[in-house]
Amino acid sequence: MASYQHGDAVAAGLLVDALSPQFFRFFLGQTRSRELADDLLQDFWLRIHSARHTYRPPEPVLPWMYAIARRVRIDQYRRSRNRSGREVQMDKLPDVPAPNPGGADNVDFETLLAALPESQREVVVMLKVSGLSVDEVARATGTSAGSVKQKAHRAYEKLRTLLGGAGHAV
Amino acid sequence: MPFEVPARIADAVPDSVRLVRIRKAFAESATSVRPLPSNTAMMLACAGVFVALAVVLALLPGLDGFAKLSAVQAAIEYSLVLLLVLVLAGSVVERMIPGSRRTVPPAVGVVLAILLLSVTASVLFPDFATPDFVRQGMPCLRLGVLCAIPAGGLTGVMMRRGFVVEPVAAALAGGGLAGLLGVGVLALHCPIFNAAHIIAWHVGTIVVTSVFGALIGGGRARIRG
Repeated sequence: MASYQHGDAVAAGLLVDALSPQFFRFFLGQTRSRELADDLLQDFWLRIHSARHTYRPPEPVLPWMYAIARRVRIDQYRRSRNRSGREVQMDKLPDVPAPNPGGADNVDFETLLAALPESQREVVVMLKVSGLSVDEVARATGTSAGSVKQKAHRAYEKLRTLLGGAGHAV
Repeated sequence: MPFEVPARIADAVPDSVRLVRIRKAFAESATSVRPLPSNTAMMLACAGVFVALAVVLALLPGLDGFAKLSAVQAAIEYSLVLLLVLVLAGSVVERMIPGSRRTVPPAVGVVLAILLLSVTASVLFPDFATPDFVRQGMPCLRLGVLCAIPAGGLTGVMMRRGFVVEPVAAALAGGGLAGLLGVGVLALHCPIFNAAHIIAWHVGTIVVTSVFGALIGGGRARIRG
């Protein structure tokens, strides 16, 4: 990251290669759409580029990046909400594609995530999909570690309820 | 069974064509940038500029209030304003850096400023008589808010140097800081030492500018979305 700040194009490429999959999964875990996750990833890197002077070594880089990724996601959410507010209901609903065979577990997981409130889903994705620590999530979301733990606890409780407590330890 | 992320998400990879495009764009525009100074350095610089601006702006209408205050009253009042400027400047600076450790939430900083200034005014100037309350108060509120406008502009310019990821919180802190500058100018200029007057019309400046700041931040967030 420090080399990238000094204008090293190779370091910039390495950074993109190394961290893109992680942030792609972060966006995918929240949007459930590959195409949208790709769009968000592109927007994310644009913002990283314009904000790179705000990263100060040797501060941890992931909370800094996740804070920006979170903002990208929030802006996209607002945009889609504004757009859907202006959309007109169609007379006939479009055909729904058949579910992916063998993907029932994945659909379940995503449906479970979607049932969580936005703030709890974000914390679960950062902790479980991105593998951040509680402190890193707290810095990325601009809250306290206690607040992150509380959101995670509530999310797990809700997931347990949704799973029906049938042998699924979250 | 531990909580496991399904393979579809855990092993998902982004579109390779897009990645190539992003890498190319990065390589083409890779230029050297200088990282921002530490939070402490920026907070002290911000507080210094604000104090200097408050003194300059107070010189225009005159330092009547400063001349009438006793040494103890002046020491307590100006020290408190300086302390609160540092707290809110710190809050603004923290909001400029993504992922920065948050020490004082802007709402807490603003409420703390309002409470401490009100309590201090009640203790230092325990006169609650309110003759000509509105007629005497409106010019103070007007002056406070007018002085807060350039301070708010300055805060906005400073924030643009950073990267704000929480526009409402950042603008609330900025509004509170700008209002505090208005309070500082009034503390130097206004010779009315009446607790009711100070709480309503001086400290009221912070309420007005903080609400205005939060509205601007909310508007910016909506536009960005």
